[in-house]
Amino acid sequence: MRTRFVPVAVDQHIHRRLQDSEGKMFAKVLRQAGRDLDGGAQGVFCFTPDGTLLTFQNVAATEPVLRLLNGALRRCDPAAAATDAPLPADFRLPLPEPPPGGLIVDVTSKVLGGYEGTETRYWQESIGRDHLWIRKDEAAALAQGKFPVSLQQRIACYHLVDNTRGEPPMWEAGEIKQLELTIADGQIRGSVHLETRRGDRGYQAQVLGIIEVKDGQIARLDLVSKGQFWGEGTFTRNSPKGKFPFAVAFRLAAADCAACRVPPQAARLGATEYLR
Amino acid sequence: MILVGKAPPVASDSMTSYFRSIPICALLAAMLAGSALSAQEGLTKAAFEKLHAELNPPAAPWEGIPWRLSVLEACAEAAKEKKPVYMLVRSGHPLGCV
Repeated sequence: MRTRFVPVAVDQHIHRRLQDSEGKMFAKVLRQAGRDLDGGAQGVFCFTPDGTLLTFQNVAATEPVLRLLNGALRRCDPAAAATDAPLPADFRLPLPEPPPGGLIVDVTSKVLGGYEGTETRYWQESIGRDHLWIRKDEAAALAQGKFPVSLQQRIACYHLVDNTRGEPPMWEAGEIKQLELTIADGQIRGSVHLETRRGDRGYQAQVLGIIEVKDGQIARLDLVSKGQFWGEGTFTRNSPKGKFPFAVAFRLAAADCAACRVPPQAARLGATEYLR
Repeated sequence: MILVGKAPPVASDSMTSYFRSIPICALLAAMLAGSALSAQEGLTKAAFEKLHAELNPPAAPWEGIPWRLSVLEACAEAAKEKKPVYMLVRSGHPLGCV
């Protein structure tokens, strides 16, 4: 995959809505595989640079993916591959932009216990991944020892979620029962209680973290929330029964990380509401 | 005598005597210490460092693949290098989410 293909990763939730050249090429490849822009296009697609499909299958396991790759290589004639597929003059990455001058934070999550039996081993080891975007003004406030309310709410609503089994439901503002994050002497402390009106999903946690500032800039931002989670979402079924220990960790993303350009799950169709 | 929190249930004489014998300040201190302990339960500094490390696993092999984020960018590069494109499509970004 690294040397004989050019790999690209796509969130169909974003790409199926694009109306530009990017969206048209995406649709062209999908339709050759018998898929359409209705949200049912998950899988692995191998195609030539002009968008001619070679192989497709909705698989993730190693052996089927290897068969798919080898099949594509057998069908692909490098000499016939397009020699020129220039990018449009107005090309832009088809993803919402992070806030200028802000910070990108890696967010990972994990269920720490509560699964029963060996069949759930995959979920027990699963790490949920996302990014948190921090506005420039919020970063400046953090550097001065203040934890902006807007950032507290963004963390609570969009990142204290169980995304270890799939796309999670986010929290609404009215589901924040209690939230307090403060900074003192380079330490972040706090607590949070999130719960739906029906009480069928919730998270109560303590928060602890470290913040370091150098030359007025945030040099380190490490945060952990740990507590009890309960409930699940439409796409995150099979959570442990009852309340289970659940943790979320935050750390500044590496500057040169390609995956860091992936927008937060809650911002993938636009960042205005997310960054508010 | 002022009791904070839930009043004890009606009890036998021996239990009533037991509660009456505990100084109120000791009772309050125990309640407050208990609530502080439960509030910080599981998130000491050591627990924070352990969890932060646990949730920052070493990069998996898939993270070392030079993923592009645009189909057109991938096609442009594939055309130059005369290679096919490998496109992974998921609901939720494959490089984020789960």
